[in-house]
Amino acid sequence: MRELLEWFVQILAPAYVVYTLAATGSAVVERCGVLNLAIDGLFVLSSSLAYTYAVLFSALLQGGAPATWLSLLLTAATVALLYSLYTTLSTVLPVSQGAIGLSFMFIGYGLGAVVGNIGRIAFGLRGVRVAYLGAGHGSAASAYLSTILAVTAVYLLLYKLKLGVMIRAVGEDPRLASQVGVSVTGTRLLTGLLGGALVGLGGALFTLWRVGGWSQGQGLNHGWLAYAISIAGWRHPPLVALVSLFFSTAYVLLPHLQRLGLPIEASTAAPYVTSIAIMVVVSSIRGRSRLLADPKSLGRAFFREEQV
Amino acid sequence: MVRVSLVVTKRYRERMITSTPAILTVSLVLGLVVSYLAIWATVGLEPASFFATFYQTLASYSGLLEPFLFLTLLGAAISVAFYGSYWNVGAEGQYVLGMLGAMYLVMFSPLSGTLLEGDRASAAVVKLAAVILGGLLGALWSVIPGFFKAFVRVNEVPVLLLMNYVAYCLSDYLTGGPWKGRYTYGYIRTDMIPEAARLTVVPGLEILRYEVAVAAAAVLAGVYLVLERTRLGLRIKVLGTNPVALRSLGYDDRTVILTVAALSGFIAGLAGALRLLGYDYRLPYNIGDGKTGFYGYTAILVAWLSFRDVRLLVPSAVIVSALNSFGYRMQLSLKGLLPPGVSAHAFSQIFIGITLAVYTIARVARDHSVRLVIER
Repeated sequence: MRELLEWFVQILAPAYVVYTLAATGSAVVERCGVLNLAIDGLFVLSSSLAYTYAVLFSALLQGGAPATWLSLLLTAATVALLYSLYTTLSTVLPVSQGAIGLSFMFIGYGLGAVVGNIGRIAFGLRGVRVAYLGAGHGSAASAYLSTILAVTAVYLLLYKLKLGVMIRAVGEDPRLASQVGVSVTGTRLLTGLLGGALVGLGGALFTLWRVGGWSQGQGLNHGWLAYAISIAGWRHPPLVALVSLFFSTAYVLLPHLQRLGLPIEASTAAPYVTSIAIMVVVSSIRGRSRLLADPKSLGRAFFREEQV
Repeated sequence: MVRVSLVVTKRYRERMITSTPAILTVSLVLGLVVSYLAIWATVGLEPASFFATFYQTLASYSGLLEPFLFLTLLGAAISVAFYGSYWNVGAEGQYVLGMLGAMYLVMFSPLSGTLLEGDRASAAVVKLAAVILGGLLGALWSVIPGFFKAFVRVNEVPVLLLMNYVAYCLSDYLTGGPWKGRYTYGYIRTDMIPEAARLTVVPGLEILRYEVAVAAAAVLAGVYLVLERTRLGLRIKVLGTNPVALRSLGYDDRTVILTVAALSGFIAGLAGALRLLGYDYRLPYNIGDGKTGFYGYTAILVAWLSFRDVRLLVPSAVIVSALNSFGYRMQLSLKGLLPPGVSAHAFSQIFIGITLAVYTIARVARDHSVRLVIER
């Protein structure tokens, strides 16, 4: 029993960390009123970027863990910048957030493949080895711990600090927020940086830890799984972390259903069906408190021409 | 302190600085240039062979007919949905469901027996029934996310995209399981549908099927009439631009969302059924591995470029099918150049993304004036 539990904790860790970080990032982005339809593309892009950075630095630094950690950080930084571009663009221009989000999604998919292939062709095929993060006993425990710390930090920022109030105010009513002196663009830019860093970190860990390798198309749909978790956790970081625990458990255990005689297609489809189901069930619960409700201006174009 | 801000103002006067075709051209050219740069960065392809392939594609117009018809059908499906702000990115799954519906009807339903009798009239009825069943299954696949959007307020985009993969899985399950063929030379796929169930090849133009051409024309006309001449069309448009107004007028916006979703899914399913009966004749295993040609995704671009103007559907379908065939040819000519594991699908995704983004932003720039204000 003890062995089974240990095995479970080990295999759950990478999935849990990846989905929790990406879902928390998505929750932050949507709390400021920007519909996060870019997530899947940017998740794919971050998983590819992490690989390319990792092979690049492994070649430059002669391999080792520092290269891996450096690529984690750089992926988070790059994706943070892209996310802030996304949140800023969908704020300063009165465009449909759906349109810009889908464009970013497609560009993310394509660019991810290009970036990853560049790394693979330039270094990977030449035998550069990357020190992927192992699933050692200590690393699983510290990963759970640092994820929970990160989620707590995001929670404190969103609900206890002035910046968090600004972020949520902008998500509720950007017009009103800007009338009381909050810079809507500036706040959303910062939120994009924060949320993007989390999504980027999730995507990077997906490649460097959960999968431990890269192939074209990697990470596809996993961004949507994170999106589903963020919705199901009502975009409230501690709840997101909790929902993510259930979800990752299901996701890790589902492939084992095949042993029970279920067709392989059913276990492939299961996470997608589960995601849809949890989004629907959670969204149908009425009478939530204001703190858990959807941001009122989510997905609406912010047009401030009257203030010229 | 210096304060820099962007001021965006709506142009109230009708000042058509740039026309829609000009914006279209600019976004397509930028899309091409960026995807070329991506190919160049990955495999170092020189411009000459890139543009030579481009020219060859345009020169062989008859090859464009088949993608053109399907992209028109799917573009019309998605376009209807876009009118009502139902972001139907799930046409791919609805298209697959259409194929499944048609397959079931001509191979496994009680009606399939009539096909063997050789009676042309009853074969025509079976084919029609197959196409309608395909449409209905497509509609069902689209109404599920529509229902969640209307009644539970779950954003439809992730649900639709995830359901595309569920559709692939469903098709693979059937193809590898209950519908697995006996005469397949060891491949996992279904058997071919009977000759009598196949659509009519136009003599002299082997790539064309009468029924597909008729369906595309009928769908275009139907979509135009519904949107421009009926109350339902008006309600769909109001839903797309101002759902609050729709509610104030006393209509239930939820019913309109469901109608739009059903209509859009029906057309996409119809396209899938026609595809199966007219061209594919069987279902392959691993259908999500590019075996649909990703038409359901490519058609998003068709709908987008003709945004809220049905008349632009045909020219955008022409452009997109040309680019799609170009992408396909590039894939073939790149095949020797690309190292194993690299799929050229990425370049068309970049193309779709860049074109969508530039087109969206350029339209804003046309309808609004954007000024940079620096205050001291």
